[in-house]
Amino acid sequence: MTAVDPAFRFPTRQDRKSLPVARPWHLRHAAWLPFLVPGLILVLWEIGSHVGLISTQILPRPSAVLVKAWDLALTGELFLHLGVSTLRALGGLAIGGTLGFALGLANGLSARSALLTDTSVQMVRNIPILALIPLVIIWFGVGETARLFLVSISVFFPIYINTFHGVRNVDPQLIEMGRAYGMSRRSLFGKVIFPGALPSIFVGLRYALGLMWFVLVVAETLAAKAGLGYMAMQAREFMMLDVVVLSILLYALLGKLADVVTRALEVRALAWNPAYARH
Amino acid sequence: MLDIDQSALGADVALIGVEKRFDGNTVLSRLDLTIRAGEFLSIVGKSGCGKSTLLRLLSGLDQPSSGDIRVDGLTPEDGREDIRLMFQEPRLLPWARVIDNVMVGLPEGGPVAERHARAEAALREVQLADKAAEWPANLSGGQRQRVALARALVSRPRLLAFDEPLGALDALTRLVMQDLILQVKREEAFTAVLVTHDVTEAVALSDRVIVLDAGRVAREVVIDIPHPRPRGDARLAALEAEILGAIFAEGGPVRSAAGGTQLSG
Repeated sequence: MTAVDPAFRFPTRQDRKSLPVARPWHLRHAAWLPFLVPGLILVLWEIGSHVGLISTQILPRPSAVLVKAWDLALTGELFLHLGVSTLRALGGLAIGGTLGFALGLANGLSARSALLTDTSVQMVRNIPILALIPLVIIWFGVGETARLFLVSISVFFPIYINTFHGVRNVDPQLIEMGRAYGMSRRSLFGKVIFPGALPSIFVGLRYALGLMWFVLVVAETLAAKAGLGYMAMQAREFMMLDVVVLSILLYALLGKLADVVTRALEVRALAWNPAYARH
Repeated sequence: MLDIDQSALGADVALIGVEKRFDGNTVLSRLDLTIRAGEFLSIVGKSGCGKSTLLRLLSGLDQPSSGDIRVDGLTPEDGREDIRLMFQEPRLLPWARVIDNVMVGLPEGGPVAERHARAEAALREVQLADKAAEWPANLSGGQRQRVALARALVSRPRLLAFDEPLGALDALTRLVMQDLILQVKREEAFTAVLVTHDVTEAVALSDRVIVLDAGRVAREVVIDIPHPRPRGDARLAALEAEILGAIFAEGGPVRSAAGGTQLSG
């Protein structure tokens, strides 16, 4: 028999707390790790250009794009195009998003409204939006209205569908509880239905933001006088590849920015949900 | 026993010839029942005997097909703050903190500070005052059901209906919750109606147990034993056996599915 050390005791919870627990490697570097892959690609690309693996006739080197961005920023041209594009995107989001949200709520709350309109919306939804372009040009010309229309209609559907779905799927037991506890229609909506639908509405919003930039690029190639899409089209005409690549990178950045903003909103609004709480 | 003011807050309940049918199925048939103010009544019976339906009628969530229900002389309806229903599930709003969930039980409007104070008092009553700012997701099953109890209590109801509120809890938490229910019942003196599958629970908590079978009262047992009732008491065990016997009695007074026999009254 082995002797037991008289000083031995099982570690308590307190002991475990005071131990310097090493956080896993990926969590300690969570702040910069997501940018490792994009950064690495840029570095390889730059090196590839310098050693002649990548022809600058086909793809300008990142440093050249950066220099171009600086030039365009100094002349103010960059901010003009960025501003115009952002305004168009947000305008379309405001119009299409509001309409989609309103109809989604109406159809989620009223079976009559859903019967009347949902089938029509589902039919229109299956038309590829870009197939509408010829029609849109005939209706609205090639002006601002056409671009706003295209962006609005593209964000309308994801927001509509997810709002509708979210409202429909609110736990009926909670609604019954609200009824039993004498909630007015207004507080039933504000305290039970809307917060219950919110996670789904956010899914719709994220999806809509992606579509918004996508459709905007195409819409801005329609005889626009400014905007990122216009900047890229102009640059192509004059074979200014650095500007073309710059506008592509700007779209990527704007998309990421929209995603960051939505995520921040989610973390705030859905703090109650363990799936969204920050680790 | 200090039995001074049992009816101060409790509601008188009367059911007169209450019938409930769903699509031609009679769930409750010509039920007559009176519950005196401050009484603790339990309703037991096999699944589908109509006990949950009875509770929904009492709390005004459903209306009887015929007959009359009076709680303090008035027909029950949704949102009467003197009648509260506690469900089998806690049914807390996951996006509202504990204190806000409790405030759901208060009538809308009124000064915020007062609502807050009343909700805090109710949380103290269920010993969860320290959890006021928590999200429901961070509570255990028993704690959530205690928040639901606080929500039911906060408007100081005169009739509290329990629809198997402890059914989903583990055995030990159940015992703790039973004691808690008895304690708040003693303090608040409401009329309590408990629907349960658990005959032991019914016998431990109530003043009277009725056995419901096919929509009518098959047996009525008065539990005339003062609280605190020691668990495993022989008299309680005998009453429990009697009630179980009534539940599983073959060829009881009501057997016919297509409603008709008029044996028990």
